[in-house]
This record gives sequence, C-alpha cells and structure tokens, in this order.
Amino acid sequence: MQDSPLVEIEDLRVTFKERSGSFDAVRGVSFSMGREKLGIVGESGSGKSLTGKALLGLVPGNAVVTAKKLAFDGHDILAATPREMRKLRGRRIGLVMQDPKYCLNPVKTVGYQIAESCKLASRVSSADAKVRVLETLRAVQINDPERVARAYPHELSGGMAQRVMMAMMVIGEPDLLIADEPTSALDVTVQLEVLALLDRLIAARGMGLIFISHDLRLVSQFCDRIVVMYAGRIVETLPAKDLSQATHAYTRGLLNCLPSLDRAAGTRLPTLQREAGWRT
Amino acid sequence: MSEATATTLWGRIRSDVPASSREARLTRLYFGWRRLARSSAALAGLAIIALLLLLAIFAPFIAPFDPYAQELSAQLRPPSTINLFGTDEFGRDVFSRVIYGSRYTLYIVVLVAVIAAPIGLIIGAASGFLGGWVDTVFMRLTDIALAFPRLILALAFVTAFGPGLNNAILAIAVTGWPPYVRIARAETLSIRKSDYIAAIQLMGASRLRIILFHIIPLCFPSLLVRATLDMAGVILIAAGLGFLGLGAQPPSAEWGVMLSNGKDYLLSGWWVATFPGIAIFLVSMGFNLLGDGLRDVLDPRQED
Amino acid sequence: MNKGSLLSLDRLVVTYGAVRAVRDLSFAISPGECFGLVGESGSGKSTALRAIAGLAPIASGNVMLAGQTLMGPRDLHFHRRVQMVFQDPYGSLHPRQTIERQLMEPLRIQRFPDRPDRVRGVIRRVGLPESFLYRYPHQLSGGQRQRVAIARALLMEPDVLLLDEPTSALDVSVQAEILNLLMDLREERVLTYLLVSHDFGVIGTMCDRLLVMRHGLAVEEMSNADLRAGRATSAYARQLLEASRGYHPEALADVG
Ligand SMILES: Nc1ncnc2c1ncn2[C@@H]1O[C@H](COP(=O)(O)OP(=O)(O)OP(=O)(O)O)[C@@H](O)[C@H]1O
Ligand SMILES: Nc1ncnc2c1ncn2[C@@H]1O[C@H](COP(=O)(O)OP(=O)(O)OP(=O)(O)O)[C@@H](O)[C@H]1O
Ligand SMILES: [Mg+2]
Ligand SMILES: [Mg+2]
Repeated sequence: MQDSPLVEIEDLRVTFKERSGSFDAVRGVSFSMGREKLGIVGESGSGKSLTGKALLGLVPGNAVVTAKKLAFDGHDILAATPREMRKLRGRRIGLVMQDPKYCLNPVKTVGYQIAESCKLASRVSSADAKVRVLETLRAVQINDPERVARAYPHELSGGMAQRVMMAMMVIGEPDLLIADEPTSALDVTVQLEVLALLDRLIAARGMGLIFISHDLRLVSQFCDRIVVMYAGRIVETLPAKDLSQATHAYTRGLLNCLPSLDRAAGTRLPTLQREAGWRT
Repeated sequence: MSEATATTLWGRIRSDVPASSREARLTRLYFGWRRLARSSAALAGLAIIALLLLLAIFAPFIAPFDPYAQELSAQLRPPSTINLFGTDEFGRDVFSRVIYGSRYTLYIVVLVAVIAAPIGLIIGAASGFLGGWVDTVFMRLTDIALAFPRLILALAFVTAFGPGLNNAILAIAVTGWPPYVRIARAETLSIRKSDYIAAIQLMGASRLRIILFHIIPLCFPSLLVRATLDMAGVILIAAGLGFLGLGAQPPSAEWGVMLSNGKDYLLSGWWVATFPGIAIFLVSMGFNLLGDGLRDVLDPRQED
Repeated sequence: MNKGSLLSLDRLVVTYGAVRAVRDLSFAISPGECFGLVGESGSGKSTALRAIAGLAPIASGNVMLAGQTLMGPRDLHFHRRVQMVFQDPYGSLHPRQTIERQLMEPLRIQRFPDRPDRVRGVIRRVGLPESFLYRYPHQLSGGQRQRVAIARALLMEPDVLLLDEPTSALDVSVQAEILNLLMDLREERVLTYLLVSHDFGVIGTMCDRLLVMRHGLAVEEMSNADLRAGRATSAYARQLLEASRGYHPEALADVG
C-alpha cells in the first residue's frame, strides 16, 4: 500500500475573517497518509475538527481555506466543484461529526436517514437498504435495532446517537473515514466493539481512517500513527506505540494529566503550564 | 488566541471580533447583509420596497399635482411631459395618483403584517410548546380557518361589516394568520425537546419567558420570510377588494380602485388602468424577490 | 432511605411510551459526596439525571432532596439548589444567543446582584478568554462549548450538581483543570456531585462511591477502594473493568 497517498495535506490554513482581526484557527498543517489509522489528538480548540472539515470542504461560511496542497486520492479538494465534492462526500469520504445529534435531521427517523445514505452510496432497493440498516445498527452494538431505526434523534441516548452517525457513515463503505471523537460517549465495552468494527473495515476494504480523539491511551493502542496538535499547528508526529516516549513538552504534559487509578482519590491532577514557545 | 484587536467599532464588526453582545448582534446583521447583498435579485426586491417607502413618505413633494383635483377640461389625456402617465376620466393626474397610492399599499401591508404575523407567532409558539389541550384547540381552529379560501372569507367578512379600507385590512389580517401559526408551531416542535430549552427550564425560567425570549426568536426568521412572501399576495387581495368595490372606495387613489375605474376606458385611454397595474405588479414582485433572498440569508444551515 | 442523605432515588421508573429507560433505580447520596454512575450506553444514566431535574416523566418511585419528595414541576428554589451539565455540548447552548446573554439569563431569572462581574469571573474559571463572551455557540469548538455549559451551571452556586459526562468532550489537559476546579469547589462550598462518566480514571479520581448500571437497572454499587482493587462481584462490572484496560484486538473475543 505504498502507492500514491490517500490524503495529502500541505500547509493547510483556515482563517476566520479578513483585516485586522483575522484569526488563524489552523496554521500550516501538513501530513499525508495512506490506508492506515491516523490518530489526531490535541488541545481543545486547536483546529482538529476544522482540519477534518477542510478535507471535505465543510468549513463554516466565514472561513477561508488555503493550502499548498489539499488532495484526496489525487483529487484536488480546493479546486473541486460543489458537485464533485458532493460525490466525494457521500461515497468516498465519510465524516462522523463531533455533534451527532445536531447533524441528524430532527424530524426524520434515524432508520430513514441511514437508509438514505446507503442509497446514496450504492444503488440498492428500499427493501435491501432496510436490511442493511438493521445489520449495520447491530454491528455498531445497538441491541434493539428495530426500535432505534424507528426512533427520532431526540429519543436516543448520547452514545446511541454517536453509533447511529457511525452506522450512517460506514454503511456507504467509504475509502476514507474521518471520525471526530466518535466514541467519547460510549462505555468501554461498546467502544471496543466499535473499534473492532472499524478495524475489520480497514482490513477488508483497505479503508483509511482519521481518528480524532482525546483518549490518549485508546489512540496509542488503536492507531498506527499519531499527530499531536496545539494552537492550530502540528507539534509532533509519532508512531502510536511510541506515544509514551513522546519528546515534545506539550505531549509529555498531556500524558502527565491523564487521570488514573494509580493516583489517590481526591488528589488534584497535574495541570499543564502552557508555554508561549509551543505556538510557533 | 492570536486575535489582533481592532480598535474602531466598524473595524471590530467587519473583522468579527465583537467586544460586547450588542456588537456581536451588529456583526451578525452585517454578515447577514453581506450575504443578502450577494444576490442581485434580492437587492432588486429591496430597492423596489425602499422606493415604495420613499414614495409614500415624500408623496406630497414628488407628486406634481393634487391626486384628487379634478380638471374636467383635461379628461383622458395621453401620457405627455406634463402628465407623465396621462390623466383619467376626471382629468386627475395618473402619475400623482399612483404615487399617492403607495401610501395605501404601505398602510395595508404594514397593518396586515402587524396584526397577522404576531398573532400567528404567539399562538403557534404557545401551542407547540405547551402541547396538550391548548395545542388541540388552537390547531382545530387553525384548520377550520385554513379550510376556507382566503379571498372568499375576506369577501364574506367585508360584506358583513361593510366595505371600506379598514374593514378590508381587518378581513385580510383575520384570514391571514393561520399559515403563521403552522410555521411557528412546526419550528417550536422541532426545538422544544432540545437540551438548550431544557437547560433554560432548569434555570427556573417561566414558560412565558421561555416562549417569548427563547423560542419566538428562533421562529422569527422563517416567519419573516413567509410574511415577506405573503405581502405580495396581500397586495393582490387588497387591490382585488378595491377592484370589486369592497376595499378602499372611490375616489381614493388606491391602486385597485384606480384599476377598476380604468377598466372602462381600456380602449380610449389604456394608460388609466395600465400604470396602477404595473405598480401593483412591481411591488408584489419586489416582496417576492426580497422574501426569496431573505430565505437564503436566514436559513440557519448556511451559517455552519 | 437513610436519613442523612441529601439526594436519593427510591425505586425510580421512567418510561417513554413502551421504552423503559430506567427500570428500578435506588441510591442515596450524602451531602458533600461525589457519587459516580457508570454503565452501558443507553442504560438510562442521562434519563435518571433528567428525572431528578424534573425533565423526564417519572412513572413511579420517588426523588427526594433533603428529605422532601419532589413532585411535579420544580420550583425556583429547587433550581437554585440543583443544576445540571448536559451530555451534549452542541445541543445545550441556544444557537442564536451570545454566550454572554446565555450566562446572564440564569442570573436574571434568579435576581442575582452584580451580574457582569459574576459572568466574567466564571468564564475565566473555566479557562476561556473573556472575548468568547461575545461569540455565538457555532463559533466555538466542542470543548469550548462544554466549558460554557459548565460555567452556566456553576453560576447559580448550587448545592447539587448533576454532571452528565462533563469532560468527555475535553482534552486531557483541560479535563484536568476542570476536574481540579470541581474538586476545589467541592471543598470550598460542600458541593454534592452526581457524576456520569465512562472513564474509570475520572470516576476513580472524583468519586467516593459508584453505581454500575445496565438496561435501566442498578447492577452493583462499589466503593472507590473496590474500584481500585478491581473487586467487582457481578459479571458485567468485571467485564467493564476488564475493557477499561484498553484496546487489544486479540483479547476482544472474550469481552463480547
Ligand atoms: N465559525 C467560527 N468562527 C470563529 N471561530 C471559529 C469558528 N469555528 C471554530 N472557530 C474557532 O476555531 C478554533 C478551532 O476549532 P475546532 O472546532 O477545529 O477545534 P477542535 O480542535 O476540534 O477542538 P475540540 O476538541 O474542543 O472539539 C477554535 O478556537 C474555535 O473557537
Ligand atoms: N425522549 C425519549 N423518548 C424515547 N426514548 C428515550 C427518550 N430519551 C431516552 N430514551 C431511551 O431511553 C434509554 C436510555 O437513554 P439514556 O439517555 O438515559 O442513556 P444513557 O445511559 O445516558 O446512555 P449514554 O451513555 O449513551 O448517554 C435509551 O434506550 C433511549 O433510547
Ligand atoms: Mg472538535
Ligand atoms: Mg447519556
């Protein structure tokens, strides 16, 4: 799988507004990835979600995206027409958003919405789509898929909504899945099952995965490579299994902040002294 | 954050770094305006309505003649440099009458909007949020009102209470609220289960406070769009009532009335009916264009 | 239930139509305690918190605050004493109001004095710059929104905080700051917490006792010491503890 990389990003910038107050939320991010599992961790507000959205051309309307190169499987994203983007989005790139409930249509049942994305990705009959929907819901560890398929988004628990969003994206079997904190509301056993499902898809289909998460330990065990972001920049890229030997002070600080059962209950957690030098 | 702080108010608004809630609102308005300004159709609509407003305010200064002054020696003169749109059967200047007619149109539009939209908004938001029997009663009433064709209902109303401009406005307003109820209720239903409404309930806010300050502002954009689009229809109905002799009464310089008078002279003086007709057409098209533009601007999905 | 408890549930049942979200849940929390709820996704943790706050339909059973049974709509005094942080940071902020306005609102409703100072103080305590007060929610990242939601709950200076996964949208450094803040406040003001989390590290740091839930039922109550020693009696709790050790594809077969 060493042929042309699936995603190539070079010097990506996302800027809000013009003139004096322009604010760079993403400041020169570069990485490329093949069909692998890439983890992104980093400070809240450091531009992780925006980087993912930029790849899909989904940044907010008042943001300006520039890059030397922003390509998916050879397609130039910045030059793509809205129509080409829609085609990529539905079929080849899936995005599990950080805010699943907000992204689902509040007045349609979730079964209908998953079926729609199934039909968008491949031509199947409604009956077949229905079967696939139930299968996929079961695969993301939903116990009673019939009920959940009939439910409206507000009737789901936080973790169920996350899994519904995941089902909606994996049912199209995309080549690249961008998962923005996809398991933050899942209990640990379900989380492991969902990760195993992703692993199977990656093995079977050669899917690439960008996995944005705050769970350092999970990322280090699950992903192949980790990108650490701070204030709109990548401060460190390292093989996942070497996370504990990270060299950058920010990454080391993060590892230090992890709450763990080895510390006595009620003791204050160590916090991070953010240094101005990390920004540049 | 690497936010350079702009120093002037205008700079802060343009660069989207507000320093108070008021400025944040202004910033939103500014960006909304920029989106609206991107569509030339919406701008054209806005221009037409601004023109209507100006004509109505400054009518006495713009109109060259008194719209009611009869000049029997100058009947049915064709358009000329003196009488731009010609004169009618009583020798009144059609141009001046069309300009004064904008006052009636504005009066009708504003009054209908002020009566019908708020009633619909409050009823719809209340019945959507409160649910239960309140919802059932209001929705049945709305269904009944919606079942009647609007013009017929307005006709019946005017016939019952007597013809006249104010009764016509009342009739249009009274028959106009049901669609607003529907819209406000649908919006409310989609937001009342949301966590932010629950969070506000948990702060101890009364139901009235929630409906007025938290739900209604969210319904407002779609209602504004609908109301703007509706105004086109309102103008047509008002003109229609005037035409049928049930709205404004002659000799008022109301466009519908002028059209109705002019129809008798279509062959001998086409201009008497044509110019009020064009005015009606233009203004209702203006509202339609602006409404479409507003819909694009106010669609919440565009912002994220 | 025992007399000294501040907040207690007695055989609580919550149903939505045919769905029984909480089937039979009882626990009691004493003043100043931090009580953890963990369990399967969809097991009714959020629903239990909502029921306490008066936002979910209680089919049977009781919720008691300081010895008094809560029934029907809650009053102003209750809202002063009990606040909640919702699970979903995207859903819990009004989309068309600036952050400042949303933080002012509870203070206005409860008629607090010197509102602007309180708002500025609380936004700094959750680690956000003051300029964020004049933004709309869609201009904030997920973690920034969650901190606004936490700030809003703290503003009311409640006695009881219901925290529904308050830190799952935060990176670990901000999480550490927020958890430290919560621990400080607890000591300063004798706050009582009911904390839902999937992270045993968080639960172990914060909580004195925890309850494991599944399918709307309580499975097992454990003390912090039990958790640390891995002493679980029920099979499900053991499975959860096992899974919390991390992702090992080989070991997955025995978990399911
Ligand atoms: N529409 C917007 N206008 C202005 N600033 C914005 C907008 N959207 C995002 N930002 C800012 O851009 C920065 C990056 O946001 P992003 O959502 O990518 O963060 P993130 O890394 O995903 O954080 P989190 O882990 O908290 O979700 C944040 O500081 C945020 O405040
Ligand atoms: N408004 C509702 N209408 C119908 N069913 C609901 C509603 N709210 C919740 N449920 C159902 O109740 C059950 C419990 O939901 P709840 O949100 O309490 O779970 P949870 O334990 O918080 O899960 P998670 O960890 O995933 O957030 C779920 O099966 C859910 O589908
Ligand atoms: Mg994010
Ligand atoms: Mg929940």
